[in-house]
Amino acid sequence: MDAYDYLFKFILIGDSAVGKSCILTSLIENKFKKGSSHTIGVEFGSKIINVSGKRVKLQIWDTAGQERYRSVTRSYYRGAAGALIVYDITNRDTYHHLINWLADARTLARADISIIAVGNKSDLKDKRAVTFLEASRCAQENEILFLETSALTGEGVEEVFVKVAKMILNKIEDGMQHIEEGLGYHGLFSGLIDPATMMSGVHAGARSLLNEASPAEPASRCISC
Amino acid sequence: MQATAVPSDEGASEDDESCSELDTLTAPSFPAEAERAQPGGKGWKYRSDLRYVDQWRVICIDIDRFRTNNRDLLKQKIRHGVPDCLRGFVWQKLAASRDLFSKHPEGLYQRLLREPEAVCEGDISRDISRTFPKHLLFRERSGLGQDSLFDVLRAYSMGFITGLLLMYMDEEDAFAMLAALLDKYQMAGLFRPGLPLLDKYFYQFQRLLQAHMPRLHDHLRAENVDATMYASQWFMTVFTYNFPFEVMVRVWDIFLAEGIKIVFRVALAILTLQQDELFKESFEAILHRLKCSATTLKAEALVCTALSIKIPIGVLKELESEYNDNRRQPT
Ligand SMILES: Nc1nc2c(ncn2[C@@H]2O[C@H](COP(=O)(O)OP(=O)(O)OP(=O)(O)O)[C@@H](O)[C@H]2O)c(=O)[nH]1
Ligand SMILES: [Mg+2]
Repeated sequence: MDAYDYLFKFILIGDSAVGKSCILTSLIENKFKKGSSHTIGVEFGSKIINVSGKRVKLQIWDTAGQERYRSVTRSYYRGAAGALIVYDITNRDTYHHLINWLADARTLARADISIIAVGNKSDLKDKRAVTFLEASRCAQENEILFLETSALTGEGVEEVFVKVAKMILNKIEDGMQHIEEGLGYHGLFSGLIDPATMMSGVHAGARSLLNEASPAEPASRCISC
Repeated sequence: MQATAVPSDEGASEDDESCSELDTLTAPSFPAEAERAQPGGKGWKYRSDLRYVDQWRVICIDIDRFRTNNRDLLKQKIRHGVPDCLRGFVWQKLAASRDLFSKHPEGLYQRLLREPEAVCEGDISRDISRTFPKHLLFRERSGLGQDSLFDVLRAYSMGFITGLLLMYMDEEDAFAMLAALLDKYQMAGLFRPGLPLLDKYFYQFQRLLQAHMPRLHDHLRAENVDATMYASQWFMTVFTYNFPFEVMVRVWDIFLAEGIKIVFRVALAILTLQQDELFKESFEAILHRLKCSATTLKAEALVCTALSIKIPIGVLKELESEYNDNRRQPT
């Protein structure tokens, strides 16, 4: 297995057919999968990306957008450190539902989850029904990140993941500063690293700073608070 | 045992025939699949295939009576695979789907079609081009397949299964099959909000896995792989999602004749056939393997292994009560 510094778990959520699975395929295989079928339950994918000089491994759960799968997909929020809420810029309904997905993420996921709104299908310019401006305002009001993507052309796809990963890294590094200031572990990582479940959203990898801070811990273990 | 009723968990459940017994049980005039596949030259195989189809034709002349009088023989024949050209007919018989038409002689399907808008039409039209995207029939947006698929889905939403049915029958018959599946085969629970049936299947499956392959169960648990990650598709679509066609139809032959138990058996068989590799792997590799197993496993080996896995009469029912009890007293 390739070495990495951190392991982050992400979830892809949003209405059916907005392009979540295509975004995942685009990220991992660098190609657009034509004629994909709707997701049943969940799909999984992983990729190592470079973020501010760190190698970050993303484990990504692509959930089914159809309402009836909600009971299966709900359990995948719990461990996620990052969430991508995807809507389709050519379909206003999917944009309006963003707020419901956000509410879901806020109630089901850990408190400090990093969230980005993703307006997908940006290649369909003449069918656009949601402007960049209104979506970015909405994101700002709700204190989440925002970007547009096209799974078809690949535009913006990797950026979305990098942006969220960066935000999580910042949170961790803020935490590290606290360590250096002698505040200790407690409270620091609470929320960010949840030792109670192995589904925990952030793990430190073999080369992790966090491990250096506590050499007694075996590498690549889930850090406990 | 019941002769005509649709199988429940309890239905046709004497599962004591393993594959080897299966061969001996087969009357000499009914060559087993393995025998048919034996090397004997193309001509030999062609003739024996023809003979096999002929035997099935005879059965089909009065399949209801054959089913009553030769229950076990029919069951064995079905486990060997129904000939493709007779499949549509046999499936409809097994599910007794056409009963629907005698119950609703006034043309229920046509009437439903005239309903201006089905409740979930939006979902359906989005779904439509995405179900069986690769099959020739369905590739064109308003090609032959898609229009009829759309019509059936309008009355009942159930994509992949509908796609499979339409390869063997016309839309009105497929509609009746769907009705039978939802009702007699209890699949309605797979589509209600909250997926109550799927949840129960996961529970039963996990307990069966624990009983049949305790070490593998523990290994998967230690690697945090749980059934929702790989088995949702298996249960929701009864192996019509992403499985090779041959696997799909063989499982469906048995599913329609014997009921839900075969789904658990095939699921366990998929794990059994790959357990050596699974033991060596961790989280990601396991998931990857289980997701892709669909394409690597051979239909005959899979069905054979599945049938060799015994799930004694009543076990599924027991697990069901256990599941219901657990739900009643939240932990
Ligand atoms: N033009 C264009 N089409 C896209 C893009 N992304 C996805 N699509 C199309 O949108 C449809 C839905 O894509 P999926 O990725 O399967 O949608 P999903 O969000 O995963 O849907 P569920 O699995 O049902 O939740 C497919 O027909 C894709 O071809 C994009 O960036 N541009
Ligand atoms: Mg999807």
